[in-house]
Amino acid sequence: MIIAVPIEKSTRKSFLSQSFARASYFGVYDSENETFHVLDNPYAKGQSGVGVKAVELLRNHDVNHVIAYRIGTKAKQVIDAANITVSNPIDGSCIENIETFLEDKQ
Amino acid sequence: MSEQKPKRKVSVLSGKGGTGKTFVSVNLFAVMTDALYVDTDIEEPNGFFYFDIEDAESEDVTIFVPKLNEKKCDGTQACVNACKFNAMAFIDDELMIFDDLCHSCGACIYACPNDALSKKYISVGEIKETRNNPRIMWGEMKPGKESGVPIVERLNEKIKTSGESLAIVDSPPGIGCAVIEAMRDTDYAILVAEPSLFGLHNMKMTIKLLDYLDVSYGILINKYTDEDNPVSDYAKQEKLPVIAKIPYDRTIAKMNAQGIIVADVDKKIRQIFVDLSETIREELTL
Ligand code: SF4
Ligand code: SF4
Repeated sequence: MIIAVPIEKSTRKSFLSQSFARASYFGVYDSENETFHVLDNPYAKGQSGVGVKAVELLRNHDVNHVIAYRIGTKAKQVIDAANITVSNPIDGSCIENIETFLEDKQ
Repeated sequence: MSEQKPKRKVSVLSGKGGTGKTFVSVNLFAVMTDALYVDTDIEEPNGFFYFDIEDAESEDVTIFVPKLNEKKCDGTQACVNACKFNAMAFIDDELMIFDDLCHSCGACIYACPNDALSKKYISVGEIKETRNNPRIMWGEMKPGKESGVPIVERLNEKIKTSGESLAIVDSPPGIGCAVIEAMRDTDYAILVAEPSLFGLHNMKMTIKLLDYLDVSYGILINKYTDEDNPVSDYAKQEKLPVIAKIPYDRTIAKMNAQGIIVADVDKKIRQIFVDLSETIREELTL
């Protein structure tokens, strides 16, 4: 499973961005290979349709789960079309959120 | 086509809503009987509340969005890359088109090497127009649409082809795209301001816009009292023309809230608007 988290700083300890589409980066964790990397979000400062493009970006990186606070209606449509699941964050860093999510799943 | 009569367009605007823009527009319209009144506040048109309207005709306003012929699409994504408005996304081998984000620029249709995209017309709102007196036009945007600009554009076209030589245009609030479109071809603007600090702030913002659009204007102070106020002070200091003052008066406000055109029932107010109409005719050399 590949999980993406919108974050403010490009580290695994970064806190989550309040906005999904306008996050500066996405933390991406691959649970099979246990690898973590950070994606730049080129749409963070875009005018419109940024949610749509952010989901497209994640999908192109084979993401199938997103942990985020609030996702706009259009981005949600794309998320649904891409069969990406969504869950709510806990208080904590990017990596803590990913670990908690994976533990809860077991 | 026959030669068109010269058109004059007077726009009534203010930085924000609730300053009395519509009040000024309809009362001015009441004393300029040869004019056409156009409410371009397409998100919340309310000018027509002042009139008994029986014969309004409607016209749909449509825009085009791309429509996909899946059989012809090979997934090259040239369309997605061409769209500057992020209205398209390619997800799991499927093209998604977001009508609400589309600006109808057509770039995707031209970009597609396989002719897989064509135009589909969708409605974004409608225009209403009375045939007889009082001559009124307004637009209504459908809820959930992102931009009312196409509706205002259509109103502008209709102003051009209308029989009247003068249009009084009630602008949308704010200083966004719809306002700029509503201001197109404006010959003279009436800037409605309230005599407060907040009113001054809004007025300055609106003046910036008017200067940018290079439109000449006069200031109308609404809810005016004899006390010192920042709007009058600023106008004096910057030598800006104040063309009318509407006194602050509870009964006026109350009548107006009930949908009464005050100039029809109150002599003093009527005189203020008659004077204003003369100033405007001079400005427009009508
Ligand atoms: S018409 Fe223009 S804005 Fe609309 S989807 Fe095509 S490229 Fe994007
Ligand atoms: S450019 Fe044409 S063929 Fe290519 S993905 Fe877009 S619609 Fe399909």
